[in-house]
Amino acid sequence: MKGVVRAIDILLVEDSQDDIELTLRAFRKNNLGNSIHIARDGREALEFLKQVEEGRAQTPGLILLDLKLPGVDGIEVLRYIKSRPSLRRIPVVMLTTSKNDRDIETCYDLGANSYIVKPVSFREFMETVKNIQLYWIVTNQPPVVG
Amino acid sequence: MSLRDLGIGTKLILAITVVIVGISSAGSVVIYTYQKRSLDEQILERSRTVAELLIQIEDHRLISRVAEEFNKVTGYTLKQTSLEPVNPRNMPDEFEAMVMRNFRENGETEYYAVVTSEDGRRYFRYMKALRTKENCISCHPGYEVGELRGSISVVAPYDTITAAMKRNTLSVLIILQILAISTIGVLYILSRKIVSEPLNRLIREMEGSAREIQRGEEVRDIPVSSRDEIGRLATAFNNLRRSLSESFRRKNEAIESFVYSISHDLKAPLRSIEGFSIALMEDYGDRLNSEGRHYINRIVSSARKMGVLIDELLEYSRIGRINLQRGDVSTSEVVELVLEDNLYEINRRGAEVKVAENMPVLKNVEKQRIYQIFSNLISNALKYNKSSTPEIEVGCMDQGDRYLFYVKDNGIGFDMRYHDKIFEIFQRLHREDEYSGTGVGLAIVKKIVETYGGRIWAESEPGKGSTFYFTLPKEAEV
Repeated sequence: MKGVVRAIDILLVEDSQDDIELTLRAFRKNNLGNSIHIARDGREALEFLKQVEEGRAQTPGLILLDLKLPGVDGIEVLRYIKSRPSLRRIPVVMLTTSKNDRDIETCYDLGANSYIVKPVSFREFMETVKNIQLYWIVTNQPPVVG
Repeated sequence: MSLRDLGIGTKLILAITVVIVGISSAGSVVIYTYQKRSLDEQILERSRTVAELLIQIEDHRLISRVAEEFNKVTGYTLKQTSLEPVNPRNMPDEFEAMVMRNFRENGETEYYAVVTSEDGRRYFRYMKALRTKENCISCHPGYEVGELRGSISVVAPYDTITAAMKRNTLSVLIILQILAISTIGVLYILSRKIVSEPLNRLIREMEGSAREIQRGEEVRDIPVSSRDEIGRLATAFNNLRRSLSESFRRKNEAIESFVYSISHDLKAPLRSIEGFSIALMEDYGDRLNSEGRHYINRIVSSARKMGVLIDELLEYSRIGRINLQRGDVSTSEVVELVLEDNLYEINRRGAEVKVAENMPVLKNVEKQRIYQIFSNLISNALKYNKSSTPEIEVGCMDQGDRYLFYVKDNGIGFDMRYHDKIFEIFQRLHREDEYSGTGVGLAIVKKIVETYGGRIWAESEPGKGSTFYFTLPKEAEV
């Protein structure tokens, strides 16, 4: 059974150009047609989120957040999101290479909704990204935002 | 066995034994010498006293009576003797005659000595010269004053008298030795209870703890049961252990996270290479000719191979450093598992696999490592095999404290010149297009076997198959 495809936007915070392209490609294969906003580092992500708060940008229905970012890192971005009343309900999926226990704990403590270690093999990576999109866009029931 | 190999307790007891035996022996000698000297003095004093007494008696017949009484009481023989006896009873024996001749010549009045008689018994002999006194002249007008008339001779049975003393000394000695032995016994028990046993317990605890530190395991404190030197040693060891295992844990964590990030950072570009190659193939494959598509396939397969290499290298670095779950592992179950996992290949090749009935259970080993050993050897036996019916034989021999395992095949074999090379990492004997592989498998097997204190080697001849042998302890020490 296929759920209702909601036309929600996705914010992808990722510094690796390769990973961005591969992620977009996996999304395309799912054919769900979400519009995707990309932030290349933590600073860009925070700028975009401020625009959202000011109503100058569409509130994303899902945030994919890398942990290891140059400058402002993923933890800081996560802390910001979860501390802002208008952003805190947006599901945040950590998508990172770190398997470090402390990173995992910190993210959940800060209110991350999911923590996923990027698979190293291409095929598994593609599967995982497709699954994330299907689960969070189709299966999961998000709160009303915006 | 030299003195250095003995335990502290035993050394102490040995030292105490030597000291006590020495002291009691020396004590006995001192006591014996002292007693002998005072006994000698006593005999001399008694003989001299009775002799002096007899000299004072003027009545000759009374002298004989006193002598008889004295002899009865003391067991001595006391008599008068003379060089020209009137009474034959007073005839001197050889010793007496000799002494009296000396008295006459040098004017001495007393002589004594311990003499061994013809029957082998020893006698203390005392002689006192009897000389003419002034009051004798009245009755014996022909005598001159000071002229030797005869002697008082005392003969004391020296052996009989000293025997009692020897008995006394011996009993003192025996009592001393009994005391010494019981003291040593008590000390022995005490030294075991107070020194040896607690020390040995401590040593065993320390050894166990050291092994746990080496394995990087969670180590508990060893118990501190007293506040003496042993207790302080245990406390000191606990402190040392804590800082050691903490630094060991940190170091191992650092290595592990380093290795992990290396493998990740190396593999991330590979993901892109593979991913974009596949994207290229999917999106633009129809616009390339077969040569172009072939190149893309080569890129993809190389990227994948590099991924495998990194994984294997990572695995190689973890052997002996990362401790996996340990326990009793049935090698027959492990081999069974390996065969199941290779079932497709075994069936495809029509291989015949024989596994010995007596495959043992290994104690305290990591199942995954044992699996890796058999898996690598068995898949090699299949891979390097051109026979129409590959035959593989897995077996085991009991060698006392260890098992000798072997995996035998009828494969292509190898030249024994390359024996050592095949166990080296990244070393291969064949071209990649002949037999695929990375050259890590046998290096992993060797490292696992050697981590367990075993040995691995092979016997082979080109075209005649190979047999790989390896030994593993029945119970791994960790």
